[in-house]
Amino acid sequence: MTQDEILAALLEIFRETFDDGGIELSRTTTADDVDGWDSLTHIQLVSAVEGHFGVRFKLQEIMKFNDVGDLCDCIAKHTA
Amino acid sequence: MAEAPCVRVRPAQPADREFLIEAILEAEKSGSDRIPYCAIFSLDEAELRTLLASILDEDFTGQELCISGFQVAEVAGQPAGAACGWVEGAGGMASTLVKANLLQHFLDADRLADARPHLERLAQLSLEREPGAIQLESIYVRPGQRGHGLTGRILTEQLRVLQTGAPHAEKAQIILMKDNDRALRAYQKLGFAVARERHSDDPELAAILPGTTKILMERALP
Repeated sequence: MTQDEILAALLEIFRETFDDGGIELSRTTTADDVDGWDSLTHIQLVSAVEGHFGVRFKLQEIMKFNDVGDLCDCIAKHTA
Repeated sequence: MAEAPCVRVRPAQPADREFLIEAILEAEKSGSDRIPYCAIFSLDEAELRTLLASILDEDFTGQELCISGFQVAEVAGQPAGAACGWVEGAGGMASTLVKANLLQHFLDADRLADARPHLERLAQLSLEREPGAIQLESIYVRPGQRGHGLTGRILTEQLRVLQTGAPHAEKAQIILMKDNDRALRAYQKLGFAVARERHSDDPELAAILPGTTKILMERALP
């Protein structure tokens, strides 16, 4: 998958998880940029991303997700 | 107040894991017999102990389920008390998200799905920790060792260690249940004062938690 394809899929997952069709994403988006990004939505988001892409992140990987770009790169690595 | 004999406060080691689990569980109970983790994630106490052991073994800093974040007080060579501490957001991620990553990783999907309504209710009592502020959590002294000033010894050492790594930290924060009178008084003696409070009348929350009012106490740091 290309980075653009991953980002497009993530956009749909984010909009569904946060129940907000107006969310926009870029590689520099962080938790601070999205209203309602708390521990519950974080758990739902990671689970939804893993389910959609059929991957299982390592703890060491998800602890380093500082922005959406880090998430994209990790998905790309797992799905290559 | 009698002085405890032979007290030593030191960083926790992997060998302290079982004692730290005791500290986490007793701190969660907050003076009651309820363990919120069990109710929220449909775990019995043995399952919760196994989960906490797995999480502690990972030792991810920046939240309260982390061996290297603890200081342990020994009395006559035996663990008698402990407290965890960290600088909020120091690793770039809020403590709530670090802990969420750990729970998401170690709990199965069904338990997480069942926990969702409980977690949504818990948000009613959410008190945000201040980025850059020192956080103190899972503060515990074994019943037979109370009344000797151990809480003060442990927290003083935690603050000293954490301030060494974060000299610009301006305050320390503790979140606890308002009903935990003993802890509240102990922290007041150490200079902490209530800064924020959140209450809920939701009866479902009352069934999960040891109380329905959470407070955030703060103390300015020199």
